Amino acid sequence: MLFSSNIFLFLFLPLVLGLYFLAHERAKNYILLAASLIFYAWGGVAAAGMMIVNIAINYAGAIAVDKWRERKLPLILTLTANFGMLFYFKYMNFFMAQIGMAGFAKIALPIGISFFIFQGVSYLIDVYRREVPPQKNPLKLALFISCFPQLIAGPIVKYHDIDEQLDVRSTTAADFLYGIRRFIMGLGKKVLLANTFAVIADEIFKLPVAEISVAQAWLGALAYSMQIFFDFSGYSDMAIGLMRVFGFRIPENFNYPYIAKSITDFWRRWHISLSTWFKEYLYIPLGGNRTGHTYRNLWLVFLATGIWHGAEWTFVLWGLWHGLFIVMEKKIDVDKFRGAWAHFYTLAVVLVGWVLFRTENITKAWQYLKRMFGLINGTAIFQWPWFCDNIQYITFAAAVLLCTPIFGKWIHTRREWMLNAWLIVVFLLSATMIVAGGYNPFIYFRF
Amino acid sequence: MNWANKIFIGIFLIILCLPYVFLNTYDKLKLPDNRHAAAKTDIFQQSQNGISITSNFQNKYEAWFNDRLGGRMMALKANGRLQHINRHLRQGGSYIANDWFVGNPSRKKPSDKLSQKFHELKKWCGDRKIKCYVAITPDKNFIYADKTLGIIPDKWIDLGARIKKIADAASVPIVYPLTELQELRRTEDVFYRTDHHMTDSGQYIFYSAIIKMLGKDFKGIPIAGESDFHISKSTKVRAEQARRYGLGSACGRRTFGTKNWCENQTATYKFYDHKNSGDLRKNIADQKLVQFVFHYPKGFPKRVVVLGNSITESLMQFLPYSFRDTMKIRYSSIEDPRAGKLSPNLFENEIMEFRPDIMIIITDAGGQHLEQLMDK
Repeated sequence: MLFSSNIFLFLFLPLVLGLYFLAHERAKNYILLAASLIFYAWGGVAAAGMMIVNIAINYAGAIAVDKWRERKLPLILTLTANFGMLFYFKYMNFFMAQIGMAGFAKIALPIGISFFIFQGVSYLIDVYRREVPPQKNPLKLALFISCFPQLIAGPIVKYHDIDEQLDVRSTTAADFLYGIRRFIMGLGKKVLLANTFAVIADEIFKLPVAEISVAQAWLGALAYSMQIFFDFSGYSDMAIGLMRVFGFRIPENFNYPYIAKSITDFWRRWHISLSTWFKEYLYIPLGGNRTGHTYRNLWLVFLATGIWHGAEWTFVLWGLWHGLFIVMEKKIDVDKFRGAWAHFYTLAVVLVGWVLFRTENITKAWQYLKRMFGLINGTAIFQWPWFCDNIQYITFAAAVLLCTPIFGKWIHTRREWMLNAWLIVVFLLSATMIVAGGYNPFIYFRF
Repeated sequence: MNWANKIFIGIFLIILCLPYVFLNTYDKLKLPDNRHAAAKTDIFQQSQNGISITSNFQNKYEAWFNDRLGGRMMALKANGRLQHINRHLRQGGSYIANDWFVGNPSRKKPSDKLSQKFHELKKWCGDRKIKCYVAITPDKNFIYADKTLGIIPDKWIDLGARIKKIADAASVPIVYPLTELQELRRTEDVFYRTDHHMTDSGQYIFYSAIIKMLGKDFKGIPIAGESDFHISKSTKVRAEQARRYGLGSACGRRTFGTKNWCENQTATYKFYDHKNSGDLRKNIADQKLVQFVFHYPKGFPKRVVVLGNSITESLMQFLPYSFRDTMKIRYSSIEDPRAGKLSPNLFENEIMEFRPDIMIIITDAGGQHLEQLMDK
């Protein structure tokens, strides 16, 4: 079930909100858990079954980690089970294709598997590190792993950030207000901005590179970079907002990444929950910057980041591409990066990275990049207005503004009714688009 | 919490709940887009082995729910209004109606300078001893005004007719076969449904009109009859560049804006392939500029230059069989810095090198390219 679907917005959400706020305090977690399981099972009952098995393994594993004398053994076994599941469902098809067995039975990828597996792993490691006690109530652990607002597209919540809230939390009127405001903002980003850019990006990327002009190639890359940001940050906003409505406070996932002054800065602002997850559970255990292997460790982290996103060489290359600049910036003092050139450099690296991320394979990515820089010839079949009309120019302008904190700061200094009126307009427009059944791609199925 | 926030929360909750409260539960609901609403599906079904869960229940339920949502009609209308606003903001490209791909409508009046431009064209051709003609195709929306469901208002000007009047006044021979194509529309598709280019049937009428116009000055130009062609039928689209790929593309424009146009498309089109295509010699003058030179020994002994846009691609299925030597110059080749400028001045070198007797300028009524005619 997608947040930007009729069934979620006009049936599931009002029903869950009604039941949740009418229920007794002790029943709230169970209502939320039941809703989360239905939410996930709506996309496939088998996938929901797999998730329940994963929850059971993590529950038992964490108790064993806490109780057994040899604590490492159950940790390794449970981690192996988690990553084994991830490998089987997400990477097996790719792996079999690499060893020449592409005909191996196609395994369907459960939506959001990378998100909930990583949440489970964070719980296990937190218990192992004795940062938190193991969760005695399996239903609460199930709620942590499957809580529907952040189940399929994050943010990845670490167990130690939320464990106390699973037991005690409340929703104040201010929380509710903040939550729905945030949800509407996210919905608007997804439906009004990301979906508009998706049309342009999909139109251009599906054409052979020889049939687009250099400018159109750049337009495609720009449109995709806008699409992925507003899509992903929109989903994160909706998740953070809904979690707040249900009384949870979860960490932020984006902080205006396109105004970053370096790639290092970019990763402090982009998908923050993933980069901090890797920092806490991979980079630091590898030794971080204390063992003299800082560069190796950084590359490994970014290799893992690339692989996390999907089973394609393009994702691996995308991770390494970012890792290359992170290492480079570590070698030269990153604080020297200042002014417009710093932004230009960062955006250029990020944009090239998105081409790797978006294209189906490395050959297409290479061809596309060569076309962007005019290194191969071609004849554009369609003229510019074919891809981009005035509404889309206006959307581009609005998106550029929303990539910076300017509008956010401005609107929050206005009177509250103005902000509310603005959000009602955004909500009505988004709802209209959803009901009318516009283009609504979901780009996280691979994650 | 202040009143503004209370009202805000109230409105949010009302918008969330209303579509379900007003859910339309009629079993057989006729939707405005000419189809019946999706049928209701129960979660459990009786089968030979007992009761089981309906396969793909979620998708079937969602389809049922989406079709019956309270306020759906209002949302569709509001969405239509948004498209209407978009139409006013657009400068180029194409538009879509509910189930129809509309061409490049334009409601701009021809500029006051157009008359002067036609006079300049006449002089330019006279100075070079070339007989010049103009051929323009109607917008798709003028042939299919009824299909645009109000997106193209009737009051919009028939730009082609206006252009023709101006050209006639300047004594520049012009053809605008609106009536003939409207007539053809009664029996066949004049334009591809998923594209704004003409079908071969439409192009054949356009070609015939052009030759009839030229025939007034050059007696004996042969018009290829329908019997000169192998006529086949296909669901594919052979327009624009796809013509050069021979078999065409599966559907034409697959998606535009928010819609997959290839869904539920079952139209078949006539394809015209000349029986003597083996006798036609075709040389590429410039691949990048999409320029071609044709030689047909049985053709009328005159040299013809066609300066045209994407419409001209399919016209080349017909025109080169009427003349001994034909050159096609694509003024709208995007790789060319002169792209989009319909001006013989800018293509003078190519034209004069070919030494033509006749030049035919081809464009569409809505494309506004005549506004650049004779630009330097």
